[in-house]
Amino acid sequence: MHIAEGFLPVAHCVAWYAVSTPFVIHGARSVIRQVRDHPESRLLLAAAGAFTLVMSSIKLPSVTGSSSHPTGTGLGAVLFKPPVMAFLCTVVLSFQALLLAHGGITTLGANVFSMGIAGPWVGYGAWLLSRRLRLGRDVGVFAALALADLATYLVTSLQLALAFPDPVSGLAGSAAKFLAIFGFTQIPLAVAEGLVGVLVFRLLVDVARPELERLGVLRPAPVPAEAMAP
Amino acid sequence: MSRRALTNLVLAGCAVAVVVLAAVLGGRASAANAGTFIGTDDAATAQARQLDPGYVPWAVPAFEPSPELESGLFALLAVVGVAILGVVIGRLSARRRAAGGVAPVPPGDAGTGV
Repeated sequence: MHIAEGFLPVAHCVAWYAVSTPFVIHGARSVIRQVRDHPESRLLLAAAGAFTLVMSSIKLPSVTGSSSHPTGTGLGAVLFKPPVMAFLCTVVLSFQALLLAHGGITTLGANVFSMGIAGPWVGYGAWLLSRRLRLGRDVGVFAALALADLATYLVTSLQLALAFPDPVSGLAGSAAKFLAIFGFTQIPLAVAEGLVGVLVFRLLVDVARPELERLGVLRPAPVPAEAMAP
Repeated sequence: MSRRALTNLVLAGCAVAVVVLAAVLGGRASAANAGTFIGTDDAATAQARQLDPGYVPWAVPAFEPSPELESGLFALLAVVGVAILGVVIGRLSARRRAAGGVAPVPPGDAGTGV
């Protein structure tokens, strides 16, 4: 999903920066507020950022004979809600653009929109829907991570299609071509990402239940009756 | 082994199985590219060039590592991320122990509730 440096026309770069900047500023303010009001959540914030860093730095081969990256943004979206991920992804994508020439500074606005905004919001929506449907916590976490991953690549395909419409079949034809590149490759990676995310989330439940309850991710465990007795 | 630990083991096994299966199936597909797994980002860039052969990128990376260095830097970032995750989980675990030990998982909490 890393659109390469210089590979979007200037007007598109400016537009994606304009769209993404308010989300990133809001996300930065959310992070500052979270750290100031609840310093104990700093460790979980670090975990969300580190998980995204790890997942988006791993290049995995896939069924189509291509390789691609997971994104890891769904976990942070479930833990802290999506705005935080806009900021964390900006940090991760800036590192990758400057250090690895992966993505770019000119295309940072577009890449942040796909990976740091669209993906986390779709993932968070899947998490909320699974809660409403009472599908179970692990199912919800799996859906959040897998769908955040797939949504990121769907949006990247549309961004590229907008910039490079097919001369014959137009925007739809171009979108289909980019989706063919990303889509099938990404499905198994999204499934693997969902499974790893569930595993990490279960680990966090074991070691950070009070923090997760305070964040509203988990419902408080019922107090045993004998503990209520005078 | 507890049911929770067994579930975690199955999850890890399934994740590894999906990645390995995708790589094996992809290996056959990549035979056309001399067994090389082309990155989808590079494939998308090539597709963009094909759709608009006249497009000239108006910016280039200030620093572009060699493919070997790039792989190493990606691995380094992944290691840094894993190290941070390890430290975080270790500190959360220590904090939990200091606060009175890791609380038992509530009855019926096998990941089916919220």
